[in-house]
Amino acid sequence: MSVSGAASLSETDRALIRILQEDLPLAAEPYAEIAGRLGLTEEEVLERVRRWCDQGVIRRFGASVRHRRVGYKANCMVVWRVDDPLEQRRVGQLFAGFERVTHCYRRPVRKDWPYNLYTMIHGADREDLDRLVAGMSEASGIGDYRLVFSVREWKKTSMKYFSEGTSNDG
Amino acid sequence: MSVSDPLDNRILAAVQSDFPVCRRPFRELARKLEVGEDLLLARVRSLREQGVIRRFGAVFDSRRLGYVSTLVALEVPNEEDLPGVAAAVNRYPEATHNYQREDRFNLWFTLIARSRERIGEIISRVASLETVAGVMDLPAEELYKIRASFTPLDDETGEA
Repeated sequence: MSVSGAASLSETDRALIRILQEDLPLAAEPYAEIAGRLGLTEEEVLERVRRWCDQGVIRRFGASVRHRRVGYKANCMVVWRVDDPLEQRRVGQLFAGFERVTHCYRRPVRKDWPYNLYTMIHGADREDLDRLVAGMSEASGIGDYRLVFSVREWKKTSMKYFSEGTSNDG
Repeated sequence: MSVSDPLDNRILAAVQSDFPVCRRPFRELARKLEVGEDLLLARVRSLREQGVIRRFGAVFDSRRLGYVSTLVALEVPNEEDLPGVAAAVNRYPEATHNYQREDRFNLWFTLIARSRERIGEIISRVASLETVAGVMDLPAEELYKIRASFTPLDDETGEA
């Protein structure tokens, strides 16, 4: 995880990151436009973007699509109780293999909250999600789980790195 | 509304990941899709304007940039207090996703911040609200999957 910490990023790198996390110019030569804004050459911009993609600093490069508009109207966080530490990785990796599981993490248990595997799943509707979860339970042998449906989205943004200094948190 | 135009669907499937990093990325992609560069650019601009594409750019790995993250769950016993608590959370730019959920813990949000100290500070301020009865700080201890692409689907359900 130490391939490229924040410490090794120059001011120019940070300025480029600020631009890349906004919208790429939808133009024939988008990287040349970005280079112009930063006073860099197009090749200098391309070299950095390629390197960050290779290193995993950029996790994904492309369009973010509103999934509600392309057919997946239901999503749900499902939390699973897997007590045996040896089982946690096996089940986590098993769930990760499900196409419609987009996120899978292990998190700590808390008082009155024994769940430690978290999956985000997507489907057409609630029935579809119920079927998917039943399948995951059967495949993993984990019977203690809970569907935690979202009923309202209060915020959904992309993180703006190196620009949260203006935080209004008084 | 949903997308039904076959070319738009092919474009959406193609532009969600591995966008070409070269001088004329749209020309390269257009070749793969066997359409003209101008047509592809026009369709992408239109999908962006319609809001089907929410953003077109890079998604960074927060940890590789030196940031830390967590998932926080709050218990807000009176439902009428939820809008106020949600607004208090949303004031922080570090709070990237915030959902009301059907559970005793009924407000769940992700935090991405420069330090664990900053995360602790935000959580303790939110937890000190009179309308909040309980709080869980749930940092990821192991990651098995962050969004593989399944087509077409949004990504940013919340990386934390």
